[in-house]
Amino acid sequence: MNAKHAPGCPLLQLDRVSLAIHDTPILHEISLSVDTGQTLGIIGESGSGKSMTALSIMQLLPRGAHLSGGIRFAGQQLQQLSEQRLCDLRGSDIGMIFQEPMTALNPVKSIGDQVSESIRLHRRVTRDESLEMTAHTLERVGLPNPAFPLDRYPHELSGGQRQRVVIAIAIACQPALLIADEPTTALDVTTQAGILELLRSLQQEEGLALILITHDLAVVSNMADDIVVMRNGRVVESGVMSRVFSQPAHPYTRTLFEASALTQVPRHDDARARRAHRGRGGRATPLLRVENLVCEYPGSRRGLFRHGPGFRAVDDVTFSIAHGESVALVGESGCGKSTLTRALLGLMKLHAGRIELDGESVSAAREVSRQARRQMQVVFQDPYGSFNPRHRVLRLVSEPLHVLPHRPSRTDRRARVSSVLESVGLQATDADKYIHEFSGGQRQRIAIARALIIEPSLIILDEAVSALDVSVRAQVLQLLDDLARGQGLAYLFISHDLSVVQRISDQVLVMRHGRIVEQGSTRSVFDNPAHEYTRQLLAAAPRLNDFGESTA
Amino acid sequence: MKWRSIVPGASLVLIVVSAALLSYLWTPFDVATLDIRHRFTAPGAEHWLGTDHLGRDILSMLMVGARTSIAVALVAVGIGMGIGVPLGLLAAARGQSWVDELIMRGNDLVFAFPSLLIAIMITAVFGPGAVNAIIAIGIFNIPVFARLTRGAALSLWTREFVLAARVAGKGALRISAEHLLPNITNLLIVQGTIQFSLGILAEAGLSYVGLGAQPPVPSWGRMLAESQTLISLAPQLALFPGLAIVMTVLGLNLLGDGLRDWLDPRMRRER
Amino acid sequence: MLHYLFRRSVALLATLVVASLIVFLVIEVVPGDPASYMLGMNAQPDTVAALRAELGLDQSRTLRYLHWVSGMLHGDFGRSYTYRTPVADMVADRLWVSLPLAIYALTLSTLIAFPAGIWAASRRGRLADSAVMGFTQLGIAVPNFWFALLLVMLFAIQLGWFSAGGFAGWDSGVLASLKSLTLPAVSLALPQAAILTRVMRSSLLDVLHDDFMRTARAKGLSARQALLRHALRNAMIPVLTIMGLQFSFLIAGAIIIENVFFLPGLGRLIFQSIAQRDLIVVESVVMLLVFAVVMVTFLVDVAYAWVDPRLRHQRR
Repeated sequence: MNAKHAPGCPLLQLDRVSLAIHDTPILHEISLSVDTGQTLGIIGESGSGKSMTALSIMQLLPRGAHLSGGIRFAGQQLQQLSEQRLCDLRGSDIGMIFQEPMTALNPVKSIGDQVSESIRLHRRVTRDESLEMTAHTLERVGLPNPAFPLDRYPHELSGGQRQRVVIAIAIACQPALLIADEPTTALDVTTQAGILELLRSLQQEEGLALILITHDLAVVSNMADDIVVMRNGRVVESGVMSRVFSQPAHPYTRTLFEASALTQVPRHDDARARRAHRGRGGRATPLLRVENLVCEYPGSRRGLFRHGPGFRAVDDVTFSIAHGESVALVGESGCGKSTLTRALLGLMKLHAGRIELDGESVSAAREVSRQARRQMQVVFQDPYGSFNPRHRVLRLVSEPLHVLPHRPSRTDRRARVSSVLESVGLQATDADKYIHEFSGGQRQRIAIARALIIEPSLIILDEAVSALDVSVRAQVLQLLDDLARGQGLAYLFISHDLSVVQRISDQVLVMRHGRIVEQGSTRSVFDNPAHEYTRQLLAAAPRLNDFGESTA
Repeated sequence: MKWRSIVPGASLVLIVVSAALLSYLWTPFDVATLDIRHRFTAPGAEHWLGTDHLGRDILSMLMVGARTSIAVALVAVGIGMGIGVPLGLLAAARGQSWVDELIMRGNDLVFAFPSLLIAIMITAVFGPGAVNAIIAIGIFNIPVFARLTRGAALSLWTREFVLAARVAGKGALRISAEHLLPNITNLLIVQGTIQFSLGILAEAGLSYVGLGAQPPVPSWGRMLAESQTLISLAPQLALFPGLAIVMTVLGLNLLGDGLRDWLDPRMRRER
Repeated sequence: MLHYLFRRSVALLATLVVASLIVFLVIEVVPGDPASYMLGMNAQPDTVAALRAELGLDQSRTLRYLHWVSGMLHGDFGRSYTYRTPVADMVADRLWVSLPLAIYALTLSTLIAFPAGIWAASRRGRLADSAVMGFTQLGIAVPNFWFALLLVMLFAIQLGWFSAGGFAGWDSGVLASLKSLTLPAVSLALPQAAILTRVMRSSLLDVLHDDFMRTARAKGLSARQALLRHALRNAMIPVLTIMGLQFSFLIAGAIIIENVFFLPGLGRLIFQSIAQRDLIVVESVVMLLVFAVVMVTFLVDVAYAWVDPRLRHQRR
């Protein structure tokens, strides 16, 4: 019983939809439409209201929501339908996919149960028929029996596989409209490519209408026919994909494009300038040298004193970083890059091999000395979790001063904090504020200030810009670039995102299953990848310019 | 705005605590004086809540009894926190090591003994008394705080701000004191309030069965025990001590709920 | 699954061994010699010595501990110092009161708490929710033995529907026995039900915020269907934990409540034995109750595995 609708009228049409939750305005007069066989991309940064738009269409808004304007789907006004009618529609005529595949499935029910529930809810079929349809649906999303039997539980599947199950639930009843809200944001690049390919083929084979909501321009550029750009709950620009891309009309759209392009386009000139600047980098000893490093996690506890077999997270890794050099370490989740970071920072035991920092060796047996710690600081990914919420910025930023042999005086400490805050583009007066008074981008600046305060030679940036919106990300990268040039800092840039790496680094290390599979200069790795895995990574990464090239 | 329950909760607790404090200076009648001629007086102008089978003023006894209840419960919470919190911090700092394992197994062991059984065993050895009640309830509180602290501290250890402190070269003790403790204080205050109210209930139960404060020290639980045989004669004897317990426990629970919603911004958002 | 259960049973066994050691040592340090106590002040020294030998008190501590433990494993709890009858028989008699009382109370509290918690959660913020929460707040604050007194005042003295105490005995019929256990069970169950209701409600509300609930709604389930089919089972995990912990409170509560209603259960036995310094009985009953608590903890662990497939498949 697929939805039928009057010809000439789009399948879904939002007409000046506004939304307020507990009197706080969320959406302002959103208008958009999508038709059968079309893909509409909705793009915007966090807080732009794009997810709320999706939930408005599903009529699954939180309590206290007040919706106005018209949402017309297949010829009927959704707001006027009874809850019972809406339940019949959801999952049957409109399917939805969510961002977080790890938590989107019920952990205590098998995947077969969860997919077949959708079918039995909307179709009059016997149990056997529904199971047969479930198996068929799972096969269509790339989880064929017998490798993926129906009695598998979500925790036995990877993130990408779970997202496929969520897609199976959404398409099990062959809906006319599929809404995908950031379906690949939480996934690795290679997995992301697979999911996007699946959505594209489903869209083409079933001829359904697809709404793809994302913050990633590159994802949209490869998929969408039409695009809607949202900001602060308003549509700032909409139209046919190629037109918006080639001639963005709204200034915000242009900023968005530029910011995305900025992180993507390699700036070898800059890199070369940086290398030239590294006059004193002519020293023979590298700043950091890692030799045959092995890190293992103990297995789970078997008894009071026994452990099960361990897991080797970092396996025989060797590389070095010169003074003032920027090195990128790229790999997908679980490849061992976080473990490597922790080992370098002296936060976990080395199993074998050695780390040499500015000539001083840190081996498996010894603790990291204060001298070594002074050379190295870190900026973490999460701008919200990196700071003790109970301390003021002054105390937060001055914390690393703990490693200095002579603790600076109170006035000296304040002077240093003021100066680093200014060097990262904040104000000296910010020192007396609490961390919750700052935005994500500002917090990352404070984290950089904290790293800079003891004037280290190396800063490890652990996914330091991954959690930021594109425009903010570009600003923070620019700041890092300027600091490197001004102070001759070396960076170890750890990231899953190739585009970020291309812009900032001189050297690239590609890591997989605990090993470095390829290393070389950024240009050579990007232009002539030697290892098969590097080629996969590069091919999988969505690129903004793909679209430009195909239409130019 | 559920945290508004702080106001009624704190008021009830305040009434009970001030009555207990006042009893050190003044009570309507002397609780030690027996006045057989005026026994079983109904509540009235002279004896607001009446008198018991020995002619003692119920209100005065309740005021003095509040001292026992509060002191026992408060010290027991102190014991639980004083021993449990450091143990929990230690277990978390040495997570996945034999120290952690030992502390956690020790906790399980104590959990296997209901507080009343601990009290019974202590009584079997030392005889009944308020101190034994304190020890029994206190021992029961230790694993409660140790578990709570360990769980909260373990999740804080993985937080990036703690990693940053470790990168700054700070040791486990310093991090526990500077970063962990301030971040679990709220949790401890809330749990402390809950354990306090459980302690009041436990003390009442212990003295009801004769394992708590001994005569002549008045206690709510024993007042109830004494009233039981007289229940058809003078039901008010069973009524007022029970109401006093309910008032105190209700006040503490309301206060705890309110504090949790007020102190924990995660809970405050919605719900 | 098997590995998980194996590990739990090893932990259970270790807890029991250490607990038995503690119980034994504590009772061991009690001042006074049971033999002289039993024979009274005027007993002849050689009579006392003979009794000591008969009771096995002349053996070393280690031997006596091993004897005690191996005896318990065979169901032999020794002989009461006071009554000279096997402790096992005394305990068995009393168990027929205490165990049904515990089960009765647990059933009642579950039957009240589950529907009440689900009802409150599904009507969050509305009048029904506030009413349920108000009642539970009161229920937690009421000491069970005082509630028992109130029940006696109303139903036994005023209305005369139930007797104020005592136990009919199973010989006088199941119904009569259950009737005499009803007031005790209700007074035990109500405070527990209040706590359980709150846990059920808040646990459900937590789950309602989870992402998979949105998935469930998006596939077309109504709010009610999603709650019953997807939220309930996930919400059971904290509820089971609390139910396990409550058992310990239930035991403590039952000991007190048996005294309120003069029920010839384990609780009464333990107090009588303390008064008569019949320590071997105290020792055995305490150990038995600890065993019950530990067993319930184990059953809760098994139930976790049944509810949560992640534990079931844990191979580590």
